[in-house]
Amino acid sequence: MQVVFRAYGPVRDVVGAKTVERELPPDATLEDLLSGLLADHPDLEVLLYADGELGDAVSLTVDGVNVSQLDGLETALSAGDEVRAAPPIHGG
Amino acid sequence: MNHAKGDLLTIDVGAREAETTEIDDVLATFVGGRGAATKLAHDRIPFDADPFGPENRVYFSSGPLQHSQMSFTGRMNMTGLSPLTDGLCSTNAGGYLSRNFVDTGHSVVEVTGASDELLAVHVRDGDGDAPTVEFEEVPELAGAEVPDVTEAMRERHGLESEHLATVGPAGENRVRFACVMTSDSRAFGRGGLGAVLGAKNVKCLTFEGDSRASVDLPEGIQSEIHREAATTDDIMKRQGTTNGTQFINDEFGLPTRYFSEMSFEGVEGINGDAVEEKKYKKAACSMCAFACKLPTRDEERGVETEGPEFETVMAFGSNTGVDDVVDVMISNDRCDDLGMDTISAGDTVAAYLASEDEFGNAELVHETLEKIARREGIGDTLAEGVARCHDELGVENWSVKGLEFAAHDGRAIHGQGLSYAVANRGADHMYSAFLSLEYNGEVDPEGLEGKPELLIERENRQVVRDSGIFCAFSSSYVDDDAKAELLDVDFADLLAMGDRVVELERHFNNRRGFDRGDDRLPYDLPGFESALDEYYELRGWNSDGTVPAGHVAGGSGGVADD
Repeated sequence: MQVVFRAYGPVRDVVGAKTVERELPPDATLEDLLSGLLADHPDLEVLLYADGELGDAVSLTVDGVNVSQLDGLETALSAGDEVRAAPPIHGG
Repeated sequence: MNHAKGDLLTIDVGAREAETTEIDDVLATFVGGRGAATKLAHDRIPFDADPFGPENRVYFSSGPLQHSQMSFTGRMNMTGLSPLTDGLCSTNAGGYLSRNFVDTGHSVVEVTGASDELLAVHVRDGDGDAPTVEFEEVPELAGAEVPDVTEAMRERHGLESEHLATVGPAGENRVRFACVMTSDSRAFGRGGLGAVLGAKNVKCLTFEGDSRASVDLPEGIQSEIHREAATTDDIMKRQGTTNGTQFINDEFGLPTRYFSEMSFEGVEGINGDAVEEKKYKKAACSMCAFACKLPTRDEERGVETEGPEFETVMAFGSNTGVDDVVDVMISNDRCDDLGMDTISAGDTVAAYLASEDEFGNAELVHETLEKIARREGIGDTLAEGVARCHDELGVENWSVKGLEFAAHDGRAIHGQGLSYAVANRGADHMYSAFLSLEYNGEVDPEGLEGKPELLIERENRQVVRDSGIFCAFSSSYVDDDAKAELLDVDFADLLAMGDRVVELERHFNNRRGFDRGDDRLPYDLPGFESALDEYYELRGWNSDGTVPAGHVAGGSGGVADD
C-alpha cells in the first residue's frame, strides 16, 4: 500500500522534500514508515526520537490525528494515509 | 504559595503624587502579573471610565518568576481599560524590563490621572537620596519616535532601553492600537494601552533600583529548565514563531488579502526560511537561554529590526498581499519606532488596501503607517481601528470586540474561532492559545463539539502563564507539575485562580455593557450558538453571557457583589 509523508520545518530540511510517497506492506505501522525514512535520512533520528521513544520536537499526525492519541509508533497505517511531521505550534 | 513580592505603587501624574499600598492579600490570591493587575483594575477603574480619561488606570506588574534566574521568565504584564475594545485588557511584553522593574521593589505600578505637560516618569526603589517617583517634563520629546526617547533617557540619566516603557507618536496621538515599547523592539502590543499612556501625557516610564524582594523559588527545577532551554535544538531558536508559517498556510489557513482568502501564493517569500535568511545574530529576553528572538537586517535596503514574528508576517505579508520579507521587516520596524501593535496596524492597513484595491503595494503600506501614527489624512480614520473605520472604507469588520484578528484562522481551526468570539480581550490568539491543540492534531480542528470545556481550561491556563509570569513558548519545557513546584501550590488551585480572573474581566466588561451580543464572529461556525450556551453554562454565567449578579467565583478574591 502507499502512504504519503508530508514534512515541514527541520524534518523537511533533512528529507529534502515536502512530500514523500512510500510503498509499505499492508500491515505496516508508523514505526515501519519511520524506519524506512531513517534508513535514507539518519539525521531524522534526533528530530523524531528521544530516549528511544517518539520525542516532542516534532508533532506527528496520521490523517490529522496526533499519534499520541493513537497507538504511537504502533499506529496501524492504511492505504492512502497521510502522515504529517511538523513543528509543534504554541502561538505567536 | 510563591507569589509576586512588593507593594502597589500608585502614581497620579495629574497631581504628581505617589503613594504605596500593601497588597499582600491580592498577591497571595492572584499570584502576580495579569492576575493581580486584573483584580486591582476591576476594583479601582470606574466601570464607566473613559479609556482616555484621567480616571482610567494602567498597571505594570510582575510575577514571582521575574525574581528568578530561569529561562522563559523574561516577561512583564500591563493591564488597563482598552480604548480599542472598550473592555479590560491585559497585554504582555518580553525583553529585559522585568528585572529592572522588580529591582524597584514594587510588585505593581499603577498610573492614573492626566498630566498637563508631557512627562517622563522615573520610578525608583526609594532607597537613598532619589525620590521614589520623579516627574520630568519633556515637552521637547513631543512626537518623538521610540529610539529618540531611548537616546534622550540614555544621555540624561544613563538608562538604556531595558529600563524604559515608552510610547511613540502613535500613543501621543491616541491611535487606538498604540502599544508600549520596551527594550527597543519588544511591545506590550495588543489593546492600545500606549494610547492610554499618551492620553495621560506620559511619554515614558523608567524603572531602576536595587531593592528586589526575595522569592523562595526551588533551585533544582530552575536549573533543570534552564539547562533544557540552553541545550535544545528547537526550531524556534532559528526561526522564532515564523517556523510554522508554511505549515499553517499549506495545511490550515493563513489570512490573505484582508481575510478574503486563506492561502497565500507568495508565502515562500515571507515564511520561516525567508526570515531566517535575514537573521544575523541570536537574541533573547532576560535570563532566557532559549533565545528565540529574531534580529534581522537587509543591508541593500538599509533596514535593521527584530522580527518579523509570525503574526507580523501575516498582518504585513499575506494579509496585505506583500510577498517580500524585507518589506515586512520595514513595516515591523516602523511599527516599533512609531509605537503601534503590528497585528492591528497590519490588519487595518489591509482593510485600507482592500478599499483601494491596492493589495501588494508595499510602498503604500509603509506610507500609510506614517499617516496613522501621526493621524494625517486617511491615517486619522485608520487610527480608529477596523471596527470603527470599516464602514467608511466599505469593507467587512474583521474584529471581535474591536480587536483586530490574529493570524490563526478560526475558519480552519474552529475551536480557536470560538476562542476569538468569547475572549474578553477580543480576537487575540494568546488568550487561550487553543490553536495549538488543533494544529498539533490533539483535537479535531473541525466543529465545536466538546470544545467549550477544553476552551475554559485553556483560558484559565493562560491566566496562570500570564500571572507567573511564564513565557508562552515554555510549554514544551515547563509542564504543569513544574509550574506547581515553582509556585509551590497545586496546579488545580492555579487554574481556579485563572477562572476567577477571566470572570473578573467578564464582570468588568458586563458593567460596560458587554454581553452575548459581543461574543460574535464575522463568519459562521457549525454549532456556534450551542457552543456559546455550553461555554456560559460551564463558566456558571447567564445565558446572555453575563456574570450573575452577586456571583462569587470560588471564594475570596472573586467577583464582588454588585
